[in-house]
Amino acid sequence: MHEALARANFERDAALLTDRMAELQGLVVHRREFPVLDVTVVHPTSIRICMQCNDWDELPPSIALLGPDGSPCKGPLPPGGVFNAGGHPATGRPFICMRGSREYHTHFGHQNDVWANHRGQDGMNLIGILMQLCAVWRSGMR
Amino acid sequence: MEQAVMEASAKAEGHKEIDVAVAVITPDGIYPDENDYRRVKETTVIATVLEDAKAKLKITNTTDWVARVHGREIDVKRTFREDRLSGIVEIEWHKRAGGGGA
Repeated sequence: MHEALARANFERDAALLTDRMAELQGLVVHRREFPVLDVTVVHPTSIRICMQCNDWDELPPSIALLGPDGSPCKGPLPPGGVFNAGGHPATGRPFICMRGSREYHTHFGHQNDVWANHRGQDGMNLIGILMQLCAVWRSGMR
Repeated sequence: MEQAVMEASAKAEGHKEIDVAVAVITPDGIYPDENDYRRVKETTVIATVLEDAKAKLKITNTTDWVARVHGREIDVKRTFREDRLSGIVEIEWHKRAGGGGA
């Protein structure tokens, strides 16, 4: 994908994460600059979600799970499998096993559920993917 | 007489309309807008506000979306009062997460 197009797509979506939206969702935004959207979900057990959005939206974001200090997340993770502690075959690290995550769509267990099935749907922009993750984190880490 | 007055008073109390201030946070923006809340009666069905948000934010398909307030999933077919929502109500509305189990 041409970088200029990916950048334009990223900037269109990232612009939706306004200061008020971040405040209402309890997010601290660390970086909102192509190709990275990096936020902390404020919670008694906070998690930092770093989305690498090169080739957006031809490819879904690659999502890294970090501790609040930016180091790799060591858990605990909420139950249910979306925050998957099992280790991705490509990285060996915990990963996001949810439609809209590059790690999900490239995992051998989900290769039948291709990103093209979800790309461009309402609610599947970068903010929509982030909102889904926030909801799973908050409901699972009560 | 006294009983009738009490009944009328109770009836009036029961019909007292209280407003709630609502914001709907979606992947496509905030309804009614970036800096405000919409005032609606607490007897308003939640889904009607979501429909207005959908129209304003030009969202077309919300069939598998879920609405939550403070992390609690709400029943959008109910009124704000029926779902015990009062005061300032900030509804997060987005797709339900799909996946897991790899």
